[in-house]
Amino acid sequence: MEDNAIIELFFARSEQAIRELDDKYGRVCHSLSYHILNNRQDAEECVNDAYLGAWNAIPPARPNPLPAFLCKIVRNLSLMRYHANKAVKRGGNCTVALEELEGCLASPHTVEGAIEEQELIGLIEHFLDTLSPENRVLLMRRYWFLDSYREIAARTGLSEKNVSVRLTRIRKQLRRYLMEREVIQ
Amino acid sequence: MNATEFSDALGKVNNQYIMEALNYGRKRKSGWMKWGMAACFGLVLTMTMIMLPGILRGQGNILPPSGPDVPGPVVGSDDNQPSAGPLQPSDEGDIIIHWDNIAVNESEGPSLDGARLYRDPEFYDMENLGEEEVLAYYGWDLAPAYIPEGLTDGGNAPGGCLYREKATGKVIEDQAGRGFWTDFGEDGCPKSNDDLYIPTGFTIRASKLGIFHCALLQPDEERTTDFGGVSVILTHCSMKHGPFDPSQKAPDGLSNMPAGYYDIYVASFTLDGVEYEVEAQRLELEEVIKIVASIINIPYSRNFTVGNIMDGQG
Repeated sequence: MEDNAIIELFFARSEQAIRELDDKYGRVCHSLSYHILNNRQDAEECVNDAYLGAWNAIPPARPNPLPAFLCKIVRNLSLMRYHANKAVKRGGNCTVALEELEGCLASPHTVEGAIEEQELIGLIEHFLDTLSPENRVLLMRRYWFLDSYREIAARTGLSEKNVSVRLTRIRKQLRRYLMEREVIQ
Repeated sequence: MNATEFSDALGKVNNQYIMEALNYGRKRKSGWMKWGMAACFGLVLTMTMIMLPGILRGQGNILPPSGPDVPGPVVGSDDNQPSAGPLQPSDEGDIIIHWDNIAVNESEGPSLDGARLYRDPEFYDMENLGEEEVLAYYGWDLAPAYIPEGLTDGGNAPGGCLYREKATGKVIEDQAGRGFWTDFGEDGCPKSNDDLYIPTGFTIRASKLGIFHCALLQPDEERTTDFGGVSVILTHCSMKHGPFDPSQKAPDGLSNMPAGYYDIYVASFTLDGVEYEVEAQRLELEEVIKIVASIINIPYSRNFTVGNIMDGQG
């Protein structure tokens, strides 16, 4: 079913909307949540909560594109649960990906004044625009979708080693970019 | 700034970056697969139409099974085979339905049990099944001999996937499916061709290891209907559709008053070691019965009795 038709089902308050949403995007959502949580049951609950979130948001929202809207809800809910669980559990793609970012962003100095989130989002978008489409997808798949190197390799046709090397370079570029703009020192 | 703050900000970037990452790779692959499989399907269909009558009759009276997992019965040479192609029934094909012996289970609603398990690629290999692989694995192309008028496969070949454990090479999940609908969108998904937004048609799913996706909540006690010796579980659910009237409550008290209801029927059965599920939307029960009967009795071309009384009184 096309996304517009699914949204019309939400507007009609038909339970069929959830079925169609699950049919079309269930696997993507489960995969994303599982990457973050590394736990099938937690991922399951987050995806169901995301469906409920979509049910409550539409209407009045009429998201376009629908999959990005849904994935954002899944990612937010899954990360919230990840941080809540972090004290007792470790492991999974999310932990490793965040550790990679921590290494890239670490600085012995503290920058005065926290950067506004909206400003940071703008800077990240600008940085993404400087990357080639393939490198941009590598960054997004690794740090937005929390994919493993193997999954990124399968999607892009690169070898795992190549993915790893490219991501290391992208992180270095990111660090340089943020330092130039005095977001980190 | 730490990694969490960066990750939170990254999570809010413009949707265009998310969509690019979502569609990258898959788009290229599916485009190739779509056109490649469409071309294959056209070739196979053409060859089938040319060769089908001879193939079906085979030598002697019996349709030769292509393997131990081929569903469907043997067919005598005196049967009238469809001449216009394999997808439509012969006009001579009759089905006798003993309505008194049809057992339909009422379901409380659709099942959203999250049965779509995520298989970590570190431990599992996934193989996509195209038309040829579906034919090889299930022994047929999941196109029932009877398809209600107005429904088509929209040019989509059957498809599915297998998951294997890397450690053992064992297949742990196998599902294939095919849909027949009144209309299809540009993305190949079923589409409604009226104001209801609910597509009309059906999907058939098959699995040798058990179907993990169950469309409707199952009632506590399931009754079965006899389809020529094969037990079929027929389940029905009435689904609400909009527009909904906020000034009144629906009889269940859970939602606003719907504009109406539409039917979902699910027929589940096992045939020659393959589990099947036919899920139909906005189709009459009689149509669902005919579809299922035509799967059990391939091809749909001779009398077939549904709802037999087992002691021979039917």
